[in-house]
Amino acid sequence: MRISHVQYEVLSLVIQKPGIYGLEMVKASDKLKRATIYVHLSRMEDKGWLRSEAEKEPAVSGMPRRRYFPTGEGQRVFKAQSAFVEAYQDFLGAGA
Amino acid sequence: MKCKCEIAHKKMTMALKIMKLTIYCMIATISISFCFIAFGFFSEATLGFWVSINAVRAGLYLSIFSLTSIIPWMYANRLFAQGRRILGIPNVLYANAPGNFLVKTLGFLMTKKAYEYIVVQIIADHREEHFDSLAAGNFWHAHYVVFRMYAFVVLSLAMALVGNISSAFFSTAIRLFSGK
Repeated sequence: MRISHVQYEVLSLVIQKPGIYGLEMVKASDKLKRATIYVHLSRMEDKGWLRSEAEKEPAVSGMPRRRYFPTGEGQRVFKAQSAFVEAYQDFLGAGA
Repeated sequence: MKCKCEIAHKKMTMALKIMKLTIYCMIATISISFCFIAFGFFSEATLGFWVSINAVRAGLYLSIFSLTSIIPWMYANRLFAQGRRILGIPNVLYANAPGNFLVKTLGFLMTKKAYEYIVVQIIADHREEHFDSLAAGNFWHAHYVVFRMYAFVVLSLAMALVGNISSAFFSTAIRLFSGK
């Protein structure tokens, strides 16, 4: 399963705070950009890593935001990637 | 049934509108007249060789036009705003929220999913920031946010389109070469 660093960042944010929306993710992370976040979220939802719900009542803007939640598959992918990142960092640490 | 004060308020607003229109017409007439006068005045005999250059002449006309139309128009607007404040008429401007055009056109042209997941979210974010900037009196930033919103919508849609086309292309290529 291939996962990019942006997708990994999104998954970590969604797992930390379920129900987060796109702009909150951009504000919480330096790696995510406003212009591309929604395309990434849409693709991740297509892959089944996230699910989203539209807000019942629209916000100040008059448009309903979508809030994102992790799925079981998303959590599994995140755990696998975290284990890989840790192993890689250990390897780099051992090399140095 | 409408109360007397409401009728008086409507009449006053209408009178102000007519006055404003009259003053705008006067400003336009005066400005055009000045340009005609200048047309007679700007000759080589009066201002020398430089006036014969078209660019210099255009610059002179433009400066006369701005001096005689834009500046009086700005002062007239300010005067009317003050007048409304003195008379107690609220100076409220009703305008569409930014991205209204995008919502109408893209909602019709795009698939429901792409529209709801990408366009609506970008517009919602930028509208919120736009309203915050307006409330803080930061008008230039509010305009910049609207410009950025259009740029981001175009960029995101382009990115989604390129992603869809490339994934379709590669999946077809893999299917063809693997013989499945």
